Amino acid sequence: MRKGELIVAAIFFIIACVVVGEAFRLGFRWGLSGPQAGFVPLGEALLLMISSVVIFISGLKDKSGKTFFIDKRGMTEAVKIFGTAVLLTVGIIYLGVYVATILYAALFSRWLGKHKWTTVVIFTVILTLAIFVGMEKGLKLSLPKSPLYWKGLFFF
Amino acid sequence: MDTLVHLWSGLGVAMQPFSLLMMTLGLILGLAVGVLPGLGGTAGVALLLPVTVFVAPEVAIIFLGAIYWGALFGGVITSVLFAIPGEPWSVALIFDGYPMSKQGRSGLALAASFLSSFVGIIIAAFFFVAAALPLALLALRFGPPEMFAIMMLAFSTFVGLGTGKASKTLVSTAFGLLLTAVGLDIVTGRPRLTFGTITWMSGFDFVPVTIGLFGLGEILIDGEDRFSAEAREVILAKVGWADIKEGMREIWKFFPQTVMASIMGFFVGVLPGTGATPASFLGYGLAKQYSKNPEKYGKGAIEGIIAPQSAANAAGAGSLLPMITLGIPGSPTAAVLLAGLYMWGLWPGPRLFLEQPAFVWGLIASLFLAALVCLIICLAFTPMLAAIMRIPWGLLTPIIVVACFVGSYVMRNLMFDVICTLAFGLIGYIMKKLKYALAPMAVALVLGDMTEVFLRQSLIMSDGSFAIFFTRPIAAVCMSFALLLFAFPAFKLYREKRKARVSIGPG
Repeated sequence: MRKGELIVAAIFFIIACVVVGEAFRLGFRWGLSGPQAGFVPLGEALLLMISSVVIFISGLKDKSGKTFFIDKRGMTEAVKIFGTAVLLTVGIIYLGVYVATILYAALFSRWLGKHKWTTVVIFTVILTLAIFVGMEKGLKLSLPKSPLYWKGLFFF
Repeated sequence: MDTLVHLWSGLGVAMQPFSLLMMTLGLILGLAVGVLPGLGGTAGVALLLPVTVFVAPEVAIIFLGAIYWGALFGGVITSVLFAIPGEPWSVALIFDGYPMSKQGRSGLALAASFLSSFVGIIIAAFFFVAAALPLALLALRFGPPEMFAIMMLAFSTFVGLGTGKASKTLVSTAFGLLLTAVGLDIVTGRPRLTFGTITWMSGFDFVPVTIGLFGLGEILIDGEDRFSAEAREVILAKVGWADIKEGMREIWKFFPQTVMASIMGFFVGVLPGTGATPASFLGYGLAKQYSKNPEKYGKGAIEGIIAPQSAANAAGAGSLLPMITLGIPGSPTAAVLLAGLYMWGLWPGPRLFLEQPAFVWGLIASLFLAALVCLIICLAFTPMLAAIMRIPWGLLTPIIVVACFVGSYVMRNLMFDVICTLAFGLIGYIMKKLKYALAPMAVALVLGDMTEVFLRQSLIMSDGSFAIFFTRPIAAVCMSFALLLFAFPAFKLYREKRKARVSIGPG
C-alpha cells in the first residue's frame, strides 16, 4: 500500500500548490467586497497541503508492505472494468448514448461476464430499449444520438 | 397543537395517490439498491435524483426519502442470509444475523430486523415531529456567523468521531471544498481555478461527482473483490407467519432496549455528518455492554439484531432533521437529498417551514407511512428480494454503469459531467482503497459554496475580524465544540503515545 499511499499524497500536495498559486493570482486580502476571491481557496489549499504532508510522512514510516491491489487477478479485473467504462465514455461522446450502450453492454457481458451469445444479444436489446423508451418517450429527455441519427439513417 | 395540525395536513400530501405510488416505487427501488452489494443507498438516491425534476418537490422528496428507507431495510437481507452487507450500516447485522441463518432461523432473524427497523423509524419520527418546529424557530434567528459555526461543526464531527485517520478525513474535506471553489466566484463573479477553460466555468456539479465516487467507484471495488470473496451457500429466505409472531414477541421482550437504541440512534443521526452506520455499531455495542448475557452475542442472539437495526433506522430518520431545519445534512445520503432541494429551487433551513409547509410536513408524514409500507413489502417479498442477488454479475454491472453515465448526463446535459463521473469513479476507487473517507467529501461538496458565503458574509459583518464567531453565544458554543472535535484526534494520539511510553518505561 506504501507506494500508492505516497503517490496519492503527492498528487494532493501538487493540487494544493496549484490552488495556492491561483489564490495569489486572484488575491486573498481584503478587497472592495470583503475577502477577495482567493481567500477561501487559499485556506482550503493550506489545509490540503498540511494534511497531505502528514499522510506522506506517515506513509514513509509505514513498513507493513501491503500492496494496493488484493492480488494480480483482482488488479486485472479492476483495470478491465475501468477500461470498458472509458470506452463507454468515449463511445457516448462520439457515437451517442444508445450505440455506445449497445457496444458496451455486449462487450461487457460477453468478455467479462462470459455469457452465451444469445444471452448477450437479448440483454443488450432489452437494456438499450429500456433506456430509449424510458428517457425519450417516458421522461421526454433527449440523450446524445449517433451520427447515423443525424443523417436520418437510424432512430437513435 | 400546531404541530398536530401541520402533521395532519402533511398526511394529506403523503396520502395522495400519486405520492403513495411514487413512495412505493421508491421503496422497491431502495430495497433493490439495499440488496445489491455494488450499489449503496447514497448512490441510489444520487442516480435517481435527475428523474425527480419531473414531479412536484413534495412528491420528489417523498420518492427519494423512500429510496433511503428502502435501502435501510434492504441492506439487512443479504447481511443476514449471506453475510454480505448490502450497505455499510448493515455490517453490524452480520454478527448475529448470519449465525442465526446458519442455525436455520433466517426467517426469524429477518422478521425481527424488519420489525425493529419499523419501530426505529416510528420512534425517530415522533422525535422528529416534536423537535422540528422548535429547532426551526430557533434557527430562524441564526445569522451568517451561526451558520458558519454549524457548518464547521458538521465538518469537525467527521474528523473527531470518524473511524479513519484524521489527516485523511481532512484531505477529503479540503478536496471536496476545493471542488466547489471551481467555477465563478460567488461574491465577485470572477472565474476561479478554471485555468482558462470554458467548461470548468460551470463548476463541478454534485450529482456526477457523487455518482462517480459512490456508484462507479463501488463497482470497481466490487469487481476486484469478486474473486477473493468466498462462495457462500445460498440459504432459502422465507418469512412465515410464525416468524413474524415470534419476532414481535422478541421485540416486545426487549422493548426497553429497542426504544433506547432508537433514541440513541436518532441523536447520532441528528449529529451533522454521521448517519446510520456509526449508529448501528453503537447500538450493537451498547446492547452487548448492558446485556444480562453478553456471551450469547455473536452466536445468534436476537437482541444483537434488534438493537443495531432500530438504531440505524432511527439515525436515518434523524439525519433528515438538521437537513430540513438548518440545511446541514446528517448523513451522506441526506447530503444528496439536500442537493435535490437546491435543484428543485428550495432553500433548506428554517424558512422552509414557513414557505413550504406542504413539502416539510409531507416528508415528515411520509416517514410514518413509508415505514409501514416498507415493513409490509419486506415481510411479504423477502424471497423475491433475495433473488435479486442472483442476477449475474456480468449483466448487473453494465446496467449500473450505464445508469451512472445516463444519470449524470441528464442533470445539466453536459458531456463534461459524463467525463466527471468517469474521473471521480477512478478517484473514488483509489481513495476508498487507501482508506480515505468519502462521506466528508460528499458533504463538503454540498456545503462548500454555502460555507464560503457564510464565512465571507460574517467577515464583512465584522470588518474582517474572526472574533465574530466567538462573541455571539450560539456561534461561540458551536465553534468551541467544533474546535474541540478537530483537536480530538491529536489528543487521542498524544494519549496513545504516552500510554506506549509508560508501558515501555522502567518498572
